[in-house]
This record gives sequence, C-alpha cells and structure tokens, in this order.
Amino acid sequence: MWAECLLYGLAGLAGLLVLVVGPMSAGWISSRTALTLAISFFVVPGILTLSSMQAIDRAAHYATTTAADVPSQRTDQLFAGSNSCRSCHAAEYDSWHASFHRTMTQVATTESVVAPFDGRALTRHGQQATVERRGDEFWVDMVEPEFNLSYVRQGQIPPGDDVPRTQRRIVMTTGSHSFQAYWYVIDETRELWLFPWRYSIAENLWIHVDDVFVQPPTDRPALGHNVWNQTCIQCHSVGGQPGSNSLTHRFDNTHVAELGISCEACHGPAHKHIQQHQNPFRRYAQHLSETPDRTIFNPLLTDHATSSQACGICHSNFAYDEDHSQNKVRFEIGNEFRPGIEMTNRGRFMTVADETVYKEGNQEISVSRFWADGACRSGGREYNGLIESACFKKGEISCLSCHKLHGNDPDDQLGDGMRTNQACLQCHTDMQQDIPAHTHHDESSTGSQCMNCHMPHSSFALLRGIRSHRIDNPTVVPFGQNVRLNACNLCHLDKTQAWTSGFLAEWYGTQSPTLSPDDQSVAASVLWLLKGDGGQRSLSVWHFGWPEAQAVAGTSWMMPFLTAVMSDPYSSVRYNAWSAIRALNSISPADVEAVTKDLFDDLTGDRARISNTLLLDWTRHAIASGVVIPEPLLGNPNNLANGPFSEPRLRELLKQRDDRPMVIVE
Amino acid sequence: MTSPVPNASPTTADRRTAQELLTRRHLIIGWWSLAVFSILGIALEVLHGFKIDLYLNVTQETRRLMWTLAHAHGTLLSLVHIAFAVTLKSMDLPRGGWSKIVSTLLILGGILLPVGFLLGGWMTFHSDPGLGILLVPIGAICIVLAFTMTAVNVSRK
Repeated sequence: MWAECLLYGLAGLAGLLVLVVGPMSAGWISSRTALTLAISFFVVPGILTLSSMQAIDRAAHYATTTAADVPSQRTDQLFAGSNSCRSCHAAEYDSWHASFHRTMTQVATTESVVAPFDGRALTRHGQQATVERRGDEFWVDMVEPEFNLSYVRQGQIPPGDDVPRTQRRIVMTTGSHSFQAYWYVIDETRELWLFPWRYSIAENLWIHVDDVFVQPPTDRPALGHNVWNQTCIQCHSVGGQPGSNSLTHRFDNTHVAELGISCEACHGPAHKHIQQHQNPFRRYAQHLSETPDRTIFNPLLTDHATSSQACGICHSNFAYDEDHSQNKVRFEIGNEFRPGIEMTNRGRFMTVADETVYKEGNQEISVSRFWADGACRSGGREYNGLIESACFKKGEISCLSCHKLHGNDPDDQLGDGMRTNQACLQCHTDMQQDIPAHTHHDESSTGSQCMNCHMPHSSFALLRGIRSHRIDNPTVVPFGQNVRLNACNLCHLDKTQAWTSGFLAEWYGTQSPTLSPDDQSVAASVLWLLKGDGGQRSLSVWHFGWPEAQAVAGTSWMMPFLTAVMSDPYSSVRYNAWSAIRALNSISPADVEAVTKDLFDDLTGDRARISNTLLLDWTRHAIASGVVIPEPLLGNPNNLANGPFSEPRLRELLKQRDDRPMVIVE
Repeated sequence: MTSPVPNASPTTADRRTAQELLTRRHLIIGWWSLAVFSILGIALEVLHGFKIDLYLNVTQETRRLMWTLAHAHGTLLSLVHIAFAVTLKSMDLPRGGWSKIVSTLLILGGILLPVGFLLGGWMTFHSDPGLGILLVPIGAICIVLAFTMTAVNVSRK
C-alpha cells in the first residue's frame, strides 16, 4: 500500500510542477492546459492506485489454489505465505527453500515425487499393488481400501485373492529426506488416505507401512486410512484447518495457509508484520530500535524456554486438555498453537505416566513413547527430552543452541561445529582444556565425544537409532522391561553391564546396582538383542551396524547374532540386521536382491537359506582361523573343541525374548 | 567619437562570460565524474570477478542493488552534466538566473543521488538500505527540478 501512496505522491508532485512552472514559462502552455494536466496527474494515478490496492487485497485472501484434490492453500488475515517473506528476507527464504521442512508436504508432481512409479508390483499380506506413471500423473492400483477396512473393523482378515480393486491418483506427498509417503483422496469423505507403501530414499526400496515402524507383526493388511486432514495437517502444513462438516462428516473445507513447514510455522502468522512493515518509517524506526519487533516472533530473540517451544509445538508428545479435545483439534480447529504462545495453556506434555495399552483382537498392545526412566523411545519428539534435561532446567539450552535453521546443511540443520564437542563446550568451557580427564578416554576416541555418552542413540525412528535429546549421564540399570539401553554399552557392544557399572563407579563414583547373573556374564548388547522387547532389539541391532560401535567392539563375532535375528518377528529388527550383515560381508547382488525381497514377507525362503549359509561360512572361517569369541559374547574360549560359539546358549536366551506386543509411536 | 551602447552590451557580455563559466564548470564536472563512476564500475566488476562475498553473497542483495544504482546514476548524471554544458553552449538561452539555479541543482543532485546509494549500501539493515539512502530523495528532487526548469527554458526559447 505504501508503494502505491508513494507513486501517488510523485504523480502529485509532477502535477504541481506543471501547474507552477508551466504558466511561469510564458508561451509554453496556457494556464488552463496546465490546470488540466495537473488534475490529470492527481486523478488518473489515484484511480489506478485504488484499483491496484483492491486487487492486492483480493490476492491476499485467495493467493493460490492448487489441484482440486489437494487441500487448498490460501492466505488470510493471519497468514501471509512464504512468498511474502521472500522480498525482504531473501537469504532466509533461500535456506528454508533448501530445507526438508519445506518439502515435508508437497503436491505430487514430477518434481516432488522421488519414488519410481514404473509399473512394478508390490506385495504384502498376500495383497498386491502396482505403481505407475501416466503422463505427469502418478497412479496406484490396489485393493479397495474400504474393503480392507470393513474386514479389519470386524476383527477379520480380508482374503488375499478375488477382492475388489481400485485405481487412485496420488495427489500429495509427505517427506523427502529419509522416506516419502503418498496420499490419495477418498471421494465420499474428501479425506486424504495413505497409500500403504512408502519409499525409502536411501535404500531405493518400497517398504510397506507395517514394516516401517516398530510394531508387532500382523497378518492383516494395513488399513492405510491414516487421515491427513485430521492428523498430519497439524504439523505438516502451516495454518491447517481440517474443516470437517459436523453433519456430513466430509472434509469439504480442508485448507492450509501453506503445505509443508514454512516461515510462519516457526515465526507465527506474518500478515500483520508485513502490513506494518510496508511503511518505511515504521521499518526504519524498528531498525534503529533496540526492542524486538512485536509483530513477528523470532525464536533467536527470546528466552530459551519460549524459543524451544516454537520447535516443541511439533517435536513433542502432547496431550490436549478437555476444553481442547483431540476431536475438536482433529476435525474443526486444527493446531491453534502459535510460536511465542505458552503451549501448556491448552494441555500438557506427556510423560512416562501416559503409557497406554490397547486391545487388537485378543492381544494387548503396549503403546510406548517413553523408556522407564522417562526418556523418549521415539525420534521426532525431542522437546519432551530437552525439557527434562539439566541443561534446560538449570541452564539455558534451547534447540537453537545447537541447531541453525537458516544457512546450514539441511541434514539435521546443525550449526557450525555442532556435530563436535563444541556443541557442549560452548557452555561447559571448564572441560575444554582437558577432556580426557573427564571422559577417561583418549581425546581422539569416540568415547571422548560428549554426545556419545550424554545423548546416545536411544530413540528410534525411521528404522534407525536417533540421538536422545534428554541430555543425561550414562547409567546402568539391570536388564528389564522398558529399560533404556545404557550409553556405554551402545559402543562397548562386547562388554557386560557389570563391566560398565564397575567403570562408572571407579571414574564417577556412581552407585553400582545389583545386577542379574545375565547382566554379569552376557554382553549387554546381546541381552538386549536376544531377550529385549521389539524396541530394545531394534535399537540394539542398529548399533551392530553403527561404525563407531564396530570400531570399538570389533565385528568378527557379530554374524551368529545377526543371522539369528534375521527371523525376528519385528520387521525393524530384520531390516537393521540385514543392513549390518551387508556392511560386514560382501554378498553377491543376486543374494542381496533375494533377501531384500523376502525381508518383510518371507515368500520364497531365500532369507532363511542365505542366513544359514552366511552362518555356516562364518563358522568355517572362525574355526579355520582360530577366532576366539569371549564368554560374554557366548563364545567357548575354554572349550574350542565345541566350536568357537555356543549356539545352545544363544537359543536359550532367544527363548526368553520379550514378545509382549508393542508399538513405538513415532 | 562614438558613444557606447548604453547598458546592453556589457550585460550581454557578462551573461556570455557567466554562461561560458557555467559551461566549462559542467564539462569539467561531467568528464571527471564520468571517470570516477567508470572506476566504480570497474571496482564492481572486480567484486564480481573475484566472487567477493561482501558484494555477491545472497545476504548482500541490498548492497549489490545499492552500489549498482550508485554506479548507474553517477554515470548517467555525468552525461547529463555534459549534456547541460552542450545545451548552454549551443543555444542562446533567455536571460535570467535560471541557469545558475539549474547548475546548482544538477551539481547537488549529481552528488546526493550516487553518494546516497553508495552509503545506503555501505551499511544495510537486512533488506533495507542504510540511512545514507535518505540523501537519495533529496537528490532526486534536485534532479527533477533541474530537468523541468531546463525543459521549460529550452521550450520557451
């Protein structure tokens, strides 16, 4: 608007000049002509200015609308959209544009879809789907999802053959970093449902949704009815409104300010900010002022708690209170939290006390978000961990102490040096001079990396270990249900918890707990891998493939354990065991293809056959080369005549596996 | 003995002398400022050539724009000085102090506009130029007035 006013003013000035100078210059133009010209200079630009202002106002309300099947994107009196930020904050816009936040939700186009829609058939639970491209559109042919849903709701298993099929166009994508998921529309309800396979970008592999999470094995097909309009819209878009019609239950009016996580997700609605800062005088007054701009939220210019909540809005497990029930949020109002506004006005952050169990058929399934000590089991919920840390409670750490959202590597969005000890040393300066004095490890050792001990990979998401964001000290707790894996034994995979406990007591005066005979005689990683629950096993086996742990604990002893868990009931365990095996051994491309095909749904028996072959090869090689496996790793060092490894002991521990069905909520 | 032409001849001579002085002044200013702003152009090319961050970094877009505008306006206004000198020389313009006023306005505008842009780019407020930019509208008004007055007087002639 100010630009228009400026133009109007300049036109007026020109009119004034003609009016004054014209008649003064005798004979040039008459007074009447000068007056007419002057009036024209005022009137014509005035009309143009008014009409352009109206057009701008209309554009602000109905900025862009994409394909009819995708939630409409429109700006309003709150949200202005990232394009409005670009003209003044070009560098920040560019760095955001390169981030995975932007591409969290996208309209399905040839640019955004990364998976090969090449006509291939995908099979799981005896049901098949094909993915194909038709021109610039992406289509799937699959079992009618509502047909599956009707069976599953009755507690029955739908038949694999002779079932109604449907063809759906993929209209939207989620993710672009590790995985990409695809959405189609249910015509009757206008809901966006999830295509049951998602694409692993790193592995170049389609994986069924039942195999992507830590969840109990099921012979039922996934319902695929995760509804984007209800759930994902809250954090995977800006200003999302589910817009469900309470009478028809149709999502007729789902709309967002912007798909993906853009500027206003972290800085709050910007319409007012833009409106006020179009005035150059206000802008320069703000430049010269020392007080923060009150028309926009800047997480860098506020206290650590408020700043971190800007991220915690989405990176947390949160329970709404009754006045703002889940249903109201999921069907009507959407996520109303705005950065800078105290979140606990509307509910509370979940804790370990919120762990629940639900029934599916005859089995009770534990819904797990936290370890017994309160740390998060799943990745993506880092805020719950952060606020429980001493660095947050007693210090002033915030997400932005280590993460830099603008101008750095989009992968993890860490600031300069924040992958190193510099992250911790920026506050713990007293340790800078003599790190080994504190760590009791060589300075160049991975044991001297602060994060390996205080932020171990004890959370799990996206089929891999994720660093815990509850910054704490390594603690040995006797093996048991929901007990978190201790940081030391996530590197020292070959050592027992008793060994760790001894060192913690000697170095730091930590009290040693009473440990079971297994904790004293069997390597911790082996106990977690063979006796643990689905989550403990998934995390343990991921560390078998973690290069830092391999360097510390060696790899020559791993094969019997990895091949043993290739038949684990949890897909996440098998997936990581296979990744570790591939990293250790050179396996023929034909075998890689055969096992990968059978990894989630054993159709041909190739997985078991190749695992057995790998174990036999390893045993032959170990005997021939005189490999000695220590006792904590179930070796027979004192009785090599029985082979280097005690298979019966492994089977005995496997029988004690915690088969309690559990889901880690990501 | 011939009597001198009363009043007219000395005035015309004085005016011609003053006009010649003005012409010379604007030719000098024009050519020298053309030299200066050409050097500024080369400096900007060097910044481009060596990919200097303080000029080419994506965060320095405002500086890049301001300094480009300083170079462009400085160079063009140098040519305007020369054009003004040529106008004075080639046309027997009407009497009056207007040419002195225009000359002053042109010199002021020719300094304030490019210097304002230069200073505006020297220290920036994110996407806004620094306070030096305040010189620009003053210089712009001087230039607009100078152009208008010249146009009017050329038309009257």
